[in-house]
Parts: sequence; C-alpha cells; structure tokens
Amino acid sequence: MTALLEIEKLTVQFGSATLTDRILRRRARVLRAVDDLSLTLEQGEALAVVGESGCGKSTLARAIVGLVPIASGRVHFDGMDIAGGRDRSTRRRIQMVFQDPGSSLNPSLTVRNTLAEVLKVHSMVPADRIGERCAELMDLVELPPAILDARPQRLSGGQKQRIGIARALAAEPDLLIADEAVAALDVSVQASVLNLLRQLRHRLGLTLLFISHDLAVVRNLCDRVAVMYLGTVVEESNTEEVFGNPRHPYTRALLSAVPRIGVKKTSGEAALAGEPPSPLALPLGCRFHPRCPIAAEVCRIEEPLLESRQQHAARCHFAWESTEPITIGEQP
Amino acid sequence: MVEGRMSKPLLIVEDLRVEINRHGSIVTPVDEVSFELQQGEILGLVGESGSGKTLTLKALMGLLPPGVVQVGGSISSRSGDVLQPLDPEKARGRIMAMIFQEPATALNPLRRVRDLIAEPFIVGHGVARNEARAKAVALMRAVGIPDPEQRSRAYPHQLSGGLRQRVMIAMALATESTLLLCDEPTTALDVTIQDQILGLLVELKRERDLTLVLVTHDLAVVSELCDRVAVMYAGRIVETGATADVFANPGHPYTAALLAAVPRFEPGGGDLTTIGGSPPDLRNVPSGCRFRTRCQYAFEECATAGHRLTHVADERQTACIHPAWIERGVAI
Repeated sequence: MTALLEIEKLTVQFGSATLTDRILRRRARVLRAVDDLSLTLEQGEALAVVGESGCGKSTLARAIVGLVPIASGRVHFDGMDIAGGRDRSTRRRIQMVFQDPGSSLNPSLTVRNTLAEVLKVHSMVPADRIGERCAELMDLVELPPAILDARPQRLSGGQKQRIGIARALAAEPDLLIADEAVAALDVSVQASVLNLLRQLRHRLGLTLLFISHDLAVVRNLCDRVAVMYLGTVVEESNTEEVFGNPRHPYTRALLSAVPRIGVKKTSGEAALAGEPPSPLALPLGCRFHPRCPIAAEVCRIEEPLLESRQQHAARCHFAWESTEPITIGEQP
Repeated sequence: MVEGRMSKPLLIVEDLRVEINRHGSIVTPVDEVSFELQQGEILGLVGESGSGKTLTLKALMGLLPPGVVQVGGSISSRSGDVLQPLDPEKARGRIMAMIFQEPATALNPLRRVRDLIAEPFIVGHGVARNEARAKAVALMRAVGIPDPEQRSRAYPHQLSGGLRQRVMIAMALATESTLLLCDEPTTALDVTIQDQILGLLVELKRERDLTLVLVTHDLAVVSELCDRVAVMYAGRIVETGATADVFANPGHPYTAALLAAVPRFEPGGGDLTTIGGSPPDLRNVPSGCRFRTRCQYAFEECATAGHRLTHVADERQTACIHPAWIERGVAI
C-alpha cells in the first residue's frame, strides 16, 4: 500500500491578536484546534477519526480540504505538498460530504444544477454529456432520476445526504472526507447511507476519511481508527485492535461509555468523570491527566509521545506497561 | 415485583389524539395512543423523527405548540387511591416536570443559574429568596455540579452542555415533582457526558423514588435505562413491553426492523439491514396498519385491520395482527 495522504505535525489555530490586544500589548488568545497531529492514510483504506465535540476532528477535515488555513506542519497528498495551497486538479481529488445536508445544499438549485455545477467547474465531461452523467450519478447513489428536477426542500434527510454524496462523487475524487455524514439521520436511513458508503468505497476504490462521534458506526464501516482528544491523536490502530485492545485510558472510557442494546445501567457510575478542559488553557503534561483514572506524577509533568508497538500507537505513559489485552464491555 | 405495581398506574393515557390543522388540511401526528405509567418505573417512548413521541410527551405536559391541539383521548393521574383527569396546567411544576433536549435554548439566558433553580421554590412553595437560593445550591450539589456555590452565580451560557443539562434536571427536582418527562435529554451531549447524565438519572430515580418517561430515538439508551418501552411508528404505539423482552424478541415487524438497522457494537462490518421505503406522509397514511407498506410480512388483512394493542404475554402488547408475530410474542 502507498500513502495517499500524509499529515505530519499539523497545527491549526484560531484567533490572532485583535486591535484591543495590540493596544493593550496583550498576548493574543490562541486556540489550537489541531495540535501537532500526524496521520497517514493509505490508498483505498477507510480511516475513522473519532472523538468528542471540540476535539478538533472537524477542523482536521476542513484543514485537509483547505477550508481553514494551516498554521504549521506538512500535508502531503499523493506526494504533493498541499499545506500552502493547491491547484484546481488537486482540489478536485479531495471531496467532502458534510453533516447537515439541509444546509450544505444550495436551496435554490435543482439537484441537476447542483451536480452540473461540479461537472462544469472541473470539466469532468463535455457539455453535451452532462445530463447523461447526472443520471449516472443518481444511479450510483441509488436515487430515482426524477429527483434531478427537485430542489432540496422537497427531499427527505436521507435523499439530501445521498445528493451530498453524489455531488462529492461528481468530481471523481480519490479521497472522500465524510464529516459526521450520518449523524443527523434516523437509524433506518442511517443504515442505508452507511451501506451505500461501503459499497461505493469498494466499487470506486475510494479512500475514506470518516469523521464521527459514533463508535458503533465506525466499527461497522472503517478499517482503521484514530482517537482524538483535545486536538491530538491519543490512539491509533486497526479497528479491531482499538476496540478489542484499547491502550489509552481515554479510549477505554469512550468505549465503555457507549450505550449498548441489552446492557442495563444500574448505577450512577460513569466511565469518565468531569469534562474536557478548555482548549484555550491546555493542562501541562498529558492533556488527559485531569480526567484520567490512572494518572500518576509523571503525567502532570511530561507530555507522553505517541508510541507504537506493532502498528498500534498510543499517547500514554502507561500504554505499554503491561501487554495484557484489555477488553471493554465484553464482560457481563 | 411488577404485580403489585401493575395495579397502581400513576398515569393512564387512553386514545390520545393530537391534530395539526394546516390550511384546512388536518394531519394527526399522534393517534390512538394508549399506555399506562407505573409508579417508580422508567418508560421509554422510542421512534424515529415524526413518529409522534415528542408530541405525546408535550400533550401530557400541556405544552403542545400553537396550532397543535389534543382533540381526543383522556389522561388521568392517580393521587392516593383516586384516579382523576389530569389537568396539565395544575400538574405542571407540582407533580410533573419536563427536561428538554436542548438546555442551551430551554434555559432563560438572562437569569443566573441559582435563580433559575430557586424559582420553583419561591413560586411553587413560597420559600424566601435567600433560603431558596441555598436550596438551589444544595440541589446543584445533588446533581453533581462541581463548585456549586461559585457556579450558582453563572449564567447558562457560561456552562458547558453537560452542566446545563444538570441545571435543567435540578430545576425539575426543585419543583418537587416525582414524575419527570424527559425529551431526548442526552441527544445533544457527547457520549461520556451522556453516560454521566444517564447515571445521574438512575441515581436520582432511586434516591427520590421518581417515575420517568424518556423520549428518545436511541434504542441503546432505552436499553440502558428503561424498564419498559413503547415503540411508536407514524403516530401510533405499535408495541409495548419490558425493554429486555421487546429487544430480545420483538413482537412487531417494525421493532424488529428498527433493531436490525442499528449498527451493533460488535466486530465485523457487514451490510446493515435496512427498512425499505420511508415513513408515511402523515397527510396520506396507509389504511389499516401504517407499517404494512414497508412490511415484508404484510398480508391482505393488514390493509383493513383496526389499530389495537393486543396482549400477547404478560406486560406485552403488539399491534401486529400477523399470526407469526403474535405467536412469537406468546412464546416469550
């Protein structure tokens, strides 16, 4: 396998010195949404980025597509450096599906015009073949061609999300980034959109970066998982390894917090106490230590590195202390 | 254990019908809804968007939005040994309180947290302001808000989503209601915070002998928390029973289909089972069983069958008239 996307020490930050800051000669408050993050995406694989709100997963997606500026770090796509900007043909090769199809589709355009716009901008097909290609795209996302003449307002949530996917596929991308693409859908609709994504991925040989907070969905769809906490990756490996043998205490807490069918909650005990600290004031040492059940002195002082053992990386001082497998939730 | 309770329902809802009259066309988002709520239980009302679960809850609370009216059915509540018609205006804030989905919009942004929580004490029980504030701080501690004295002076926007939801729960407790109606209380929260709030509800229920109705779309949350579940489809309850029974052995094809569509937290990522078609447009519902157009077991009689929940086993009712499903129910 070759790497399609290589991210090295990526930092994305928001906020710079305001006028007031400059007058008062204050230091600007800077929020590091993505902090020194490295990640590799192999050709053809589906990588999930999971984490809770504010962990920076969406910012990471937006930085890869070029919707937010990158403060520092390297982003290589198919061997090209795209951190500083990219040409139209590279832009075409990375497409995104957004969370809320209701607000990410232009309400005044018919589905046909939405798709045709992409086909024209990227000169995907000759002008006389646009209609034909639109019909093919509808077929690809399993919608009846009659929908081409509808505006988004008339479509259901599931149909709109399929149009969102068709619009991304119109550009024939190599890398598809789905940012919480099924989070807003009802479970029966979600199931069919997940099935569609899986089929498309194999049929078109897409590489998929799937951003989600829903661990059950991720386990169903993705080959590899990266867990993010406060802007950085704290654990990364293939899906079964992360779910079956989590080495980071945050991953373990996340997994045992997921409600499961058939498991009744009988006590008030929570998997994880407290809430994540503000990304404006990151704790010293390990950024997870204030909530960590196994935090020790070293965790307050020294930030752990992302350490790998057999293609399983975890950012915890104690990740590899014992090599016994840890299972979550399998016990009665 | 259930026997004793069965004879003393706290709330009886019979044939509840809610209508929306829009430009002369009438739709019925809640139709022929009947259920009993036992003292001390957690009942889950579960269904997809548009199934009528939230409107059912709002009808109980007397908080139907403008233009939406209860046109039929009765709601009675028990006080002592007497069952009497429930007057939501009088019951609200005395015997029952509601917890809303989105604490960010449900809390008055202009008032400090301590005053929000103190208000029911002052208005409902005539407690003096200072004493009410002290009680508010005590309640904030009881719902697990750290530094309650300091936090009590905060405004809602200064708190995180999880803390805001705890404030809302404290407000409900301040009314000294023993019946809490919760509308998707954890849907807007992250999974580790959801885990905390669900645990809090379990603890409070036990400590204060509360009865809870929980409206949610999340079957796993129902499974974790609810003693009994009522599954809604297109405005009607299609199945009720003990949660563990219903989920282990569904007695209605819709319940079975819904359960099969949920990505399970298990290894392996095959295609998910989907439900063909989409929920009916409420302006044009199928005759007879409303699920029949999507049901793979439908036969002729389904088109003419009246809606009736039939007892198939203790505590177990299904609206399905198909013998195979009724047999399955009886077999439990």
